[in-house]
Amino acid sequence: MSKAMIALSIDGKPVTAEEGSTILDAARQNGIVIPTLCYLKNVSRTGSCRMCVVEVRGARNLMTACTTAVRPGMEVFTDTDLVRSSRRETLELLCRDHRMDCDSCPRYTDCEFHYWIGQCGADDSRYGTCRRLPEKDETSPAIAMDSSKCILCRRCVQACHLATGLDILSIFGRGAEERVGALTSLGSTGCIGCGQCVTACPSGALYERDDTQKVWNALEHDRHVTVLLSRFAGACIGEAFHDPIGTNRFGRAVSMLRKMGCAEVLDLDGMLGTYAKACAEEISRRKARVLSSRCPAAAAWIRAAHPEAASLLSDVPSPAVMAARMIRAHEPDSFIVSVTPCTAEKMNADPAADAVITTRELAAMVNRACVSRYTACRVWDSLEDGTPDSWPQEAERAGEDADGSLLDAVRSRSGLPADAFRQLQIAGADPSEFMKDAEQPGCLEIMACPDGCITGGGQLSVAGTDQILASAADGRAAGLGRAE
Amino acid sequence: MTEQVKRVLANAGMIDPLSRAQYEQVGGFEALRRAAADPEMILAEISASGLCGRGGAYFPVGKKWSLVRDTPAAQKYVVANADEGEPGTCKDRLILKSLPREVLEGMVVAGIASGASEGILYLRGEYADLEPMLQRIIDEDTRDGYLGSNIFGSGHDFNVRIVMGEGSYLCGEETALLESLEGYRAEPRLKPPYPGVSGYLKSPTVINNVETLANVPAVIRDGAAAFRSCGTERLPGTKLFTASGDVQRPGVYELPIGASLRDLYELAGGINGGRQLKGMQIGGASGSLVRAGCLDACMDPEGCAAIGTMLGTGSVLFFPEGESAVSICLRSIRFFADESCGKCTPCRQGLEQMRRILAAMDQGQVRKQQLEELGMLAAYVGRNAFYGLGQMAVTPVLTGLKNFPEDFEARVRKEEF
Amino acid sequence: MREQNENELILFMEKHGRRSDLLAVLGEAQRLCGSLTPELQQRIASEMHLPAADVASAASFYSFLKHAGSARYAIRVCGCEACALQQGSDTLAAFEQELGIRAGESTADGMFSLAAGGCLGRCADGPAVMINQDVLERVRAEDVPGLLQGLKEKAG
Repeated sequence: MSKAMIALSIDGKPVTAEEGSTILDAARQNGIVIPTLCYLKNVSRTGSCRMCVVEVRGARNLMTACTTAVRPGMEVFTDTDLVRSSRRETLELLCRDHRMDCDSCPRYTDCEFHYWIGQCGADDSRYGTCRRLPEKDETSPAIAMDSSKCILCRRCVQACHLATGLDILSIFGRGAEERVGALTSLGSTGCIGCGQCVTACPSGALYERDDTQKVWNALEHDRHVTVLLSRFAGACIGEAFHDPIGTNRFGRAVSMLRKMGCAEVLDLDGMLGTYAKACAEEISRRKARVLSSRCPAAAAWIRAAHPEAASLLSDVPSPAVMAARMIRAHEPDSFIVSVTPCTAEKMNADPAADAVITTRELAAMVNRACVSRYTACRVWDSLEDGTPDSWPQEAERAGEDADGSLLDAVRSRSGLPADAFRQLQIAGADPSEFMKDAEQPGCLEIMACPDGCITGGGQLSVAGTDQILASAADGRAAGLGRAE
Repeated sequence: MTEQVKRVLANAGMIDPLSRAQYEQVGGFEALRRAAADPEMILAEISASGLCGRGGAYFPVGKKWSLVRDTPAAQKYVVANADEGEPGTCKDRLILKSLPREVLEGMVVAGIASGASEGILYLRGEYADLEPMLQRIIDEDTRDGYLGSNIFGSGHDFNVRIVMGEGSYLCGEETALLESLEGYRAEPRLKPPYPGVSGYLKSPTVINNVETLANVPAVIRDGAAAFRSCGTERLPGTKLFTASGDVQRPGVYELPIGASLRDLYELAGGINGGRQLKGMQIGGASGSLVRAGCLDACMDPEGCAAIGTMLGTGSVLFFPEGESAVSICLRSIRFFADESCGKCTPCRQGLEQMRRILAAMDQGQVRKQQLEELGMLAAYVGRNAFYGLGQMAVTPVLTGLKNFPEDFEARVRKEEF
Repeated sequence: MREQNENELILFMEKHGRRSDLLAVLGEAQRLCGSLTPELQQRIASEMHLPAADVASAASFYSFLKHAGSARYAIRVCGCEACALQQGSDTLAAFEQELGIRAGESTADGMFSLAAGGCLGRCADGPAVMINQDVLERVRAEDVPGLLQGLKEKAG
């Protein structure tokens, strides 16, 4: 059922857009750039930051493009003096309370806020240098926050709500006293570390706990560094170096890691067969439903919020933990690094690896290794694809009987029917489902990140990269040939 | 000498607000009986009367109720907005205190017309002293068939409950009020959808100001033509104006729409101590600052527009010579900065920045650049804010700069080179 | 005394357990227990099956709920123009002088907190002052010492 097309004009250019689209949608579909800050596709659309204001003929005030629906004959102007000066003013007012720590900020070179300040020509010290001191909450092993950089866009609140329904992050106070964050601290409020807030944040306010120093130390002390490289981390890291979403850069990531001094780089996919086999064996041994522990955030959630179902949790560790244990057994002197799209992996009490770093942290390491981002991009472009090293003999490959999903790989080894295996998101999950028919063998895989690990909390932030129309998940999956 | 034209306030102070018998003696419940017997008549009469909302927006009441009537839903609601919070306005308090049953009767009529059987009286927390009396009236009238199930045996139900506000000016705005009723922060919603289609708990909801509802019984009882016999063509009827400031007799005065500011000024007894009137702020804390020379302007939308202001809640603050426009602006901006929900950048950051400049001007002197910044920020916030609070909060500053420039320039340092 | 209030609150929550009752519950809790401490808010959150952050977020928005209110008497003097033109600033100054604190502060003994607040709707009968839940009209500067004395005596 197709929708009617509406004809309107943007900056004098006739365009068409589907009925029900917003001015922002229409602009993006026609290659017209409108700055945004609080808008995040499928997550947040509130019209509160006022960055996307445009002039509309006949309207008394400026309208926000992200919330205004297109109408036939509408005349929109995105680049007038008034619009430009309003955007600058908005940014300058936000800068007044934002600690400008750019050079040592985790978002350096990848910050949406900083990007628009530059693009719009705003004067970040118009209202004086912000004198706030760092207000860091680093109580959680996975997620950290520095409120002195929060621009109150509320994307993180929306992301947490949509992904988990736990509402760990919220808005407190009113007016100029307002603050966004956890009620007390991230480490004490039941945050499961899924990191959707981190990928949603347009500035350096939310970030993952930095474990890169451990890896630097190992490299500098000439340790034998073995990297367990997740396919999603490796494939998608090109986004940090201007590769369009969907470009599969796994091979190049392998070469980059070697260039940085890592002795061994292993493709974590090599573990999936072993994992699938262990899961299938567990199901047949228990003769009951198993709740998969593959997603560390989901496992943490079950234990904390639904302890009645904890007995159903699988004892089979995630592929990353399994891999680390196997390598540890074979190479006791290795320094094992897990490179993952997942922030919650850092919450594991025993990850078995010596360091867990995210895709973003690895990108930051690359930038630092090459001294500047500019050089990093050039080095990146010059690399050839590399082949990962081989796994020890006993690691089983996934095999051709699996048609793409890991759950399918488990199912095909278990010999059980397809409807015994299901995936659920935490948000909106009905806990009573877990215990229902628990004596039926099968597997329930609960995931935190809305589109699976491919949009894990450790991946590059989407809005900070290309202006895309499809979702990041679809774009990346298309490039990789699969979603998980 | 001007006299009040008491329609809404005809019986204020003349009957015991608690006494239903006295209310019936002066015509109370006649409208409701007629409405219950002939529901179709209600919208026709209300629309013909041209009754518009009295909370500040002046939206046609008939249109609002029709929208709710025409939106299919299992349950509909009528909300009486008694969250009177606009500084300088205390007319709704007077109505609730002296003529509460006029409001309740208006609510039930609205319910019958729109198909709503549940009513909520949202009473601001600062009026908690009125709650016991109002609850007592609701309980008695429900017990005796004037509210609740099967009113007057008509088959219509209408239950009323009181919900207390907890201190937020924004709850005067209908969508923020709905957020508050649903247990959330009172932040205004995007419109569309309008409350008439999707309001309280996503159901069609009528939200009317207390004064608006208090006008309803008279329209039904005495007819549209009688209602139209005073006021203006576009905005018929009377309005409860609140005169405040440094005047002899501050208070609420009922006059036809279109009466002049001078009429109100005279009723309020002029400035105390025989001092000169310097100017007026019309419409509340977000109202325009105009000079005393505008006294002969008419208090209707056109007359107000002619002097660069809006009617708003109908409150007029009269200030004397010696009161600086800078102080008035500081108090207004401070109020709005405090009450801002904080969601949008212009209101949250912009008003705060304006407050800092005005506070500095109030204490001493500032550089010329800061005065320019004040005007520029006011224009920016006015054009960019998400909702009316921010859009209107800057009006005193913009009009103050225009109409009382000498007050602002007096606070600018004369740079000596 | 406290336990009785807590029980009353629980009964109230049993009758008003929906999300849309949250403001009423918070208001009642404030009334019964004197102040909406973080612990009390947490308690309300678990009884009503709401995330703790949601409850705190809503409470922190409203003027009457957002301050945990440790003072025995929360004094709010209307700071708007109508009251100011009826010598409202003199009234505020009198409170500041008598209590030895500025607006926005509390006395060291926890008896009084003072704030310049918004319009209380008594614009023809100013200056208006709100003390806890009660609003007083026509409070002139010279009335302040007597008023404070009366409050101290009532507190015992």
